[in-house]
Amino acid sequence: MEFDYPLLSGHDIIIFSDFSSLDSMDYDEEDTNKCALSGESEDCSMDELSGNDELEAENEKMHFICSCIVDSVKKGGSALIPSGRFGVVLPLLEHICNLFDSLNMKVPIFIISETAQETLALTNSIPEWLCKQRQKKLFSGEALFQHMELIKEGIISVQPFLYSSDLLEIWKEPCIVISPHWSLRLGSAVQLLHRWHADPRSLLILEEGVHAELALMPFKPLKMKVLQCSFLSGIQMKKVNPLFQTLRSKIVLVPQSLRSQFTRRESELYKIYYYTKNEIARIPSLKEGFEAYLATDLVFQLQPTKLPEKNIAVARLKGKLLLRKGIYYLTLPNKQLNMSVKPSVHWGTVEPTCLLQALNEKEIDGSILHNENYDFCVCVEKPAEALIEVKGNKIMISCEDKTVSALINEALNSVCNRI
Amino acid sequence: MAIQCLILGAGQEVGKSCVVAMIGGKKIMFDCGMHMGFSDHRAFPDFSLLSSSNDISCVVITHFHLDHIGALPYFTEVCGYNGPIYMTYPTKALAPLMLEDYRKILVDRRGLEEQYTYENIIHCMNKVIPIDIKQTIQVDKDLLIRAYYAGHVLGAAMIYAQVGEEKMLYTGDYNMTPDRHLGAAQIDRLSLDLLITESTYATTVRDSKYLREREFLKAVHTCVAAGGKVLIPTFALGRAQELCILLDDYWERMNINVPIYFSAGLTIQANMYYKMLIGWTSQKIKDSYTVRNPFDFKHVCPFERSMINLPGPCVLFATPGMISGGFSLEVFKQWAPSDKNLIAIPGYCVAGTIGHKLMSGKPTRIDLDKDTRIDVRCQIHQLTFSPHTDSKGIMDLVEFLSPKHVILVHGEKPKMAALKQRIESELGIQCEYPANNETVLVPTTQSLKISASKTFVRNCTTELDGDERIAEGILVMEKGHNAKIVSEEEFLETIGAERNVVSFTGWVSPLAQ
Repeated sequence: MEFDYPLLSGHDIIIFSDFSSLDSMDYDEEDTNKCALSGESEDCSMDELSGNDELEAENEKMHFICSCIVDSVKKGGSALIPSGRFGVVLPLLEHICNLFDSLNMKVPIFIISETAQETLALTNSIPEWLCKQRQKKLFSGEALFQHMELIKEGIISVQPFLYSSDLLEIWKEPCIVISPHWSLRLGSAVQLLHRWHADPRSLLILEEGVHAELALMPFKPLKMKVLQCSFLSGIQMKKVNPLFQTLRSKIVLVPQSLRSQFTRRESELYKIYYYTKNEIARIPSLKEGFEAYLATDLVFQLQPTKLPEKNIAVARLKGKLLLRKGIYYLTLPNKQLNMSVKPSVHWGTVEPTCLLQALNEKEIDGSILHNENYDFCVCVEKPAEALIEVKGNKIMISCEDKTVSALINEALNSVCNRI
Repeated sequence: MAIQCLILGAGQEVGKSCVVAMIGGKKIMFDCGMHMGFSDHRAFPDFSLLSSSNDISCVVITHFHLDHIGALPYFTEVCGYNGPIYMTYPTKALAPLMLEDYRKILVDRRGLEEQYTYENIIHCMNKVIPIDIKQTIQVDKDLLIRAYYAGHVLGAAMIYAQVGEEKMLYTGDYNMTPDRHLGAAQIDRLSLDLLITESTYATTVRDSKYLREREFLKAVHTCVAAGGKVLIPTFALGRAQELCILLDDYWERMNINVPIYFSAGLTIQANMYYKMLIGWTSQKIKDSYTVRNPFDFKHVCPFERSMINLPGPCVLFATPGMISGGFSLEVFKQWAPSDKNLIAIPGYCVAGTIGHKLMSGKPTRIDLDKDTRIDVRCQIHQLTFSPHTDSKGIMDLVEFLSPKHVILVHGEKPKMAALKQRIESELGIQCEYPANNETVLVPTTQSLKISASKTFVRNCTTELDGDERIAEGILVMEKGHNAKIVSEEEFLETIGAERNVVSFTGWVSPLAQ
């Protein structure tokens, strides 16, 4: 099924938790280096993430396994597939049946498991989770997997137990058997291995991940042919970097055990953190603030001041703060608030000429004493003597008369940026 | 800001459901149905009222009933809509069967000109994107939709749509109680500006389902026990499966050997689909289907035309519903004259069909056309269990969701008026039931999305009576960014300026002199 990568991009944190590559036989040095060098642009990443190359590889493997089975059956031997993952067994079944059909061979296939009937019925009712090709079958009214038909035709027989009279009646060798358990320690696979382990014509198909030596010890001496194959179970390591690039998150959490397989280039924008079993991983908070919503009726009450040089507008705001489902809301308060005037905040450079003009409007005469960079001094004569020193953003008003001081302050305020 | 709803169909009527809502500047078309009572252009919504077929962001279909999807091939192939079309998996699988079935009846039986061809249907359905329940779909960067389980029929969904902070839900047809093969509608506790709900049974409160089922089963049993034949005219999908499960179970329990027939073809093919879409049925079926698939009917067999006049009792499901033509009409002609036989009408019948005539009064004669006359001596039973919700269900849903505004569609005018009264008086929510081609403007409380600094939030104080938290700060609005509210102390830092500090002294420096 195609994955909707764009829908998931832009999130804060990705926790990478695919450990399947730890026991992957396909891991090799070349792939790791590819990890570091792959994917320049986003488009490149998307292409690399598509499953087409994987699908081809899997099909080749399946074909090889099927041809080995055909060889064994032609010699008169049977094939045993200890079942692990049904996701692997089902396509394999389809391949085997197609091959036998094309070669006009009629070989019985037995699935011996107590839960197989339920599982197989379930697989026919999950179209939403399958790839587009199989979904097309739903829309044309065909069964999603071929096995349903094959069971009806009697080519595949599903039995709960090995020693049931039903199975013994239809038992015929050579045959192909799918049966639990992949550990080779329980299930019908054990009895069947005992039956065939000394038969050099028969074939055992083991999924990789099983320690073959250990698992097969009770069945020694083993003359049966053993084919150990790996099937795709998780994401290939070479696809991980393109994946991170496509998902564009800010932080990526990677298991410590896979650390050696990740090399992050400097140009990449995400940060990597490593986590280990039983230890708490601490990630710094990405949030600079909180999400909030401002009610429109509160917005209408605002009286913004424009600051054109910075391309922003600012306004004082007073409202009721509510917290609902983790989000803050600012609304009009229920009661009329006493909008007590707060002392205003001032900033910005004071222009000497503007200041003089403002002073003049208040009937204060003054003159500029000296002017250097943004530091200047204004000397006031009337109505009282005063000195206004401006050094950067520190302003000192020296005056004996409090009224005049106040007037000067007002004049000063009128020429500054303020809120 | 407002959500603008243009009702193109199912306004004060049942049929041709189609609502075009403009939410946050995006237009969505909910359902695209046809009216079963007309066979000319009146069957379709008036698409000419849309400024253009292609300024619609997406079309979403709730379920495969013809009065919700019948006009879709026309809209895409003839009117030229080529944007995305969304519907659930079962709807996408089963809709072509319904559409093609109806098209054949129109053309083959009534010899009428078809509004769209078989190729049109296939071409249209190929463009459909299937969606799952509770799967959030980002239609484009602003519009988001999500489907919720609606009961009613396999794959029916209620559609939630959101653009920015404006949210609405279109229910389509739904059922608040589970039945034999479907669960009840399930919805999250959403906070909605607008709810558009069906109101088929706006003033009916239905009593126990089991009582009504028993009545139906008794009528059928009495008829077949006396050697009569029972005709149940249904569409291939929907009620047929439900009634089949009911009868199959009853036959099993009572050990009855009378055959139950499905008219060959469509219904059997439909069962294949139902088996693959078990995930959309009721919990009971999902728990037991691996052991026994309820759609593998034990007592049901296919029917041949030659069997119509065979002696002996039987039960027959024949398409189409409402005895509007086709095979069910053929059988009706043969079986109606006998008083031993029974016709069971499963649901709502549109005016103009034979089903409707049978339901409204007891006719002894029906004139098909000037040459054909049918004597009706058989019994008529009307099934009163419907897959629609009753008025209690509608009120429960409205109360649960508590939207700011409600619009009623898909019902009859006087009953909708009564329901509107109830909603406004009991729940205090504004409610309307517009007629076709009317537009409703639903105001939405808009809020501006901003970010608030941590210091600002920490500084907010509590009023004396402890009820309200009052927050004070400075709102900084920068072009191209979200507005940000900060506390006074952070303000200057935010805009990158330094505070001017004024100090006073009474001493005048000699420099001045």
